[in-house]
Amino acid sequence: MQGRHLEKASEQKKMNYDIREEPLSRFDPDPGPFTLSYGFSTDTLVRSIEAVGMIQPPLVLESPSRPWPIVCGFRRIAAARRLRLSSIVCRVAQPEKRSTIDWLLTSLYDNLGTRGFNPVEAGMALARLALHRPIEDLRRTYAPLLGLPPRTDTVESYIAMASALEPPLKDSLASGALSVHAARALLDRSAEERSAIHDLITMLNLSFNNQIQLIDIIYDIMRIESIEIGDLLGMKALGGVLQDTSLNGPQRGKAALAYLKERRSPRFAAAAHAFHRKIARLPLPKGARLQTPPFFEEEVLRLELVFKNGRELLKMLRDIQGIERLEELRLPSWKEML
Amino acid sequence: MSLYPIRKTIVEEKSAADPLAAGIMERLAALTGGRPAKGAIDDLGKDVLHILRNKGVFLRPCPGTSHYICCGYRILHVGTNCPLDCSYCILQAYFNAPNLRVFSNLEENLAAVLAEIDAHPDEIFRVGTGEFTDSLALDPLTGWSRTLPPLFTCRPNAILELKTKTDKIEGLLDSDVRERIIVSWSLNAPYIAAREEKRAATLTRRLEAARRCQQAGFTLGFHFDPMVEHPGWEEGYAQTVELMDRYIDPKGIIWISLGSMRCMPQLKPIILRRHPGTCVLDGEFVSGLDGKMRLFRPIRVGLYARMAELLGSWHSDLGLYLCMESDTVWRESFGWSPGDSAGLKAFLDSRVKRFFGWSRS
Repeated sequence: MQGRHLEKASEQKKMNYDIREEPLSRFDPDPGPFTLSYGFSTDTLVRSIEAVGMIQPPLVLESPSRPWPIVCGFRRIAAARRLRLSSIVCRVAQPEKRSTIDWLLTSLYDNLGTRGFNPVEAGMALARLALHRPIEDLRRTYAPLLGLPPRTDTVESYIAMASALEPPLKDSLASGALSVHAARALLDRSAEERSAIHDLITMLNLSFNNQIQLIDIIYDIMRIESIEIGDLLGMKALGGVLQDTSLNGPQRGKAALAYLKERRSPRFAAAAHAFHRKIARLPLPKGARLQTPPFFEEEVLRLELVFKNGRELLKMLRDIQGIERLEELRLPSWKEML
Repeated sequence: MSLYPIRKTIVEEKSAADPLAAGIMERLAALTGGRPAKGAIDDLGKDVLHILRNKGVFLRPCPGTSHYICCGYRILHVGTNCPLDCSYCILQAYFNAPNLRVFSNLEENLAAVLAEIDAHPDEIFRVGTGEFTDSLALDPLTGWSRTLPPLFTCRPNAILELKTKTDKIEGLLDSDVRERIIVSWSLNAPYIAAREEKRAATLTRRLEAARRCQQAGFTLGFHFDPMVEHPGWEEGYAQTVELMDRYIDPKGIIWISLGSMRCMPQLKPIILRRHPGTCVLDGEFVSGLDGKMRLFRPIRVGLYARMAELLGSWHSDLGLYLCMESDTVWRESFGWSPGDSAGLKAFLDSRVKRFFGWSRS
């Protein structure tokens, strides 16, 4: 299948088109059926055109009754518009010379040859291809071309992300502020929920891992407590964290996640707080750190000692040995943790 | 005999000549008054019966899990998936097709299974068919309860456990084999059984079936796995133990296992998608040492300890054990621990010896 497309792409090179100067007003201002660009900036192109002119003429389809669709060069034309050029040199082809899918493939291969696609663009490409090709073809041939794993669920979710997400979410996804994993997790929810969670993620500037954790915890709380997103995010305690001006961005994100985790797992949070308070009272020497087992799943504590030499180590060990009632140190029993 | 609905059947070409495949199709026609439609290979669903040959091994160690104490169980891989639809079922993420799969080449591979058992006369093989499917749900079609027990009953170093949530025991009762066969039921609190174990027999029907098997001379086992912390869970599990007391003589129980809800993280979205109203994921889950989601340890211990108390007050010698738990959880829940997987295997093997005797051939 891929070979056939390559063959078609090479036929494309032989395609007849006129090179002419045309007024920008002829071209469709909207992306149209072939454009695969989303969330781009024209700054670099503007500088380039200003400096040396438009080297590669865009490919457009002549259309007597409507704005001319742009096959390749939507960004270049957008940059030309920003520069207030009245006309540009372009390659003008006749639409009937090729089928819609072939024009789309021309656009796809032209873009793939020069740049990578962001997730929204990959979804747009797959969504458009899906109008002409079966899903199995998309999975096997086009997903790998776009750098995606050849899985049906991947293809479906990329199409859904490009089609169903609201513009602010797509903008975040395209710019890399929202992870693909998080965007996929948001797909199943209502627009209201998506928007509220997206706003929170944006406000807290969370890492990709924390985005997923946040979404997972929020969904859990909504499901278990049977509350709506507005009610959860409107809670005073969470609002307090979000509006706490004494916290910087990362601290606010950490505090908001901690609040939600505590709400999701109150007994674990209480046990962890209680034990951390207890070991914080231990007068450990500087450079010594006592670590609790993750989630109290193991029944061991770990002591980390940071020292420069044997003399320092011996001193630390003596200091530790001198801690009063150290022999009573133990992890809490299961009853104490409930 | 009633049957779970089979909408379509797929018989792979290589299976068509296998007697088990022919037998299943015959019994299916007799039970449903006609043959269900032929399915295509991409027909998916719990009502699609797919008969095929198993290209892998038939006797395999239970996958167990790392970092926790496992019992050394062996799985006789007769098929995969089952017509029941329990919300917590791990098979939803374990196998990539939800079809009911029955392996038509079981009989020709049993010789190798038995040879492996016979080659290790000093080892006790606790073998079960109920890990990758329900042992009895498809029995009216497969006749597993008639073909398998005679092969195990005569082996001094093996037992066969048939684990189910159904009451499909007619095949078993019709056979005259009892020795070294254990019929086990998965039980839960009534709230969980009713809400999370779709298409399974009610607790009462399961226990009625267990009573009939016990009266017919079978040794029984029970499994409370996964125990789920839910509103009123203590009362709920107490009610189930009360029901057990009403139907079962505890002296005929070889073991009862306890486990709590745990799953690979990738199962969570599958469960939520397939069972939107479920409560099995509501607990306080943490990441276990094996990377699976588990309930926070004190909550697990609370469930087990209470259950041990309830069961212990019914009968003191039930062969209570924990499935995939740590030494710490064992000690906190039961006051003792087998120490490690070898210790747990030895404990359960000792139960086998006590119930069925032990004579090295």
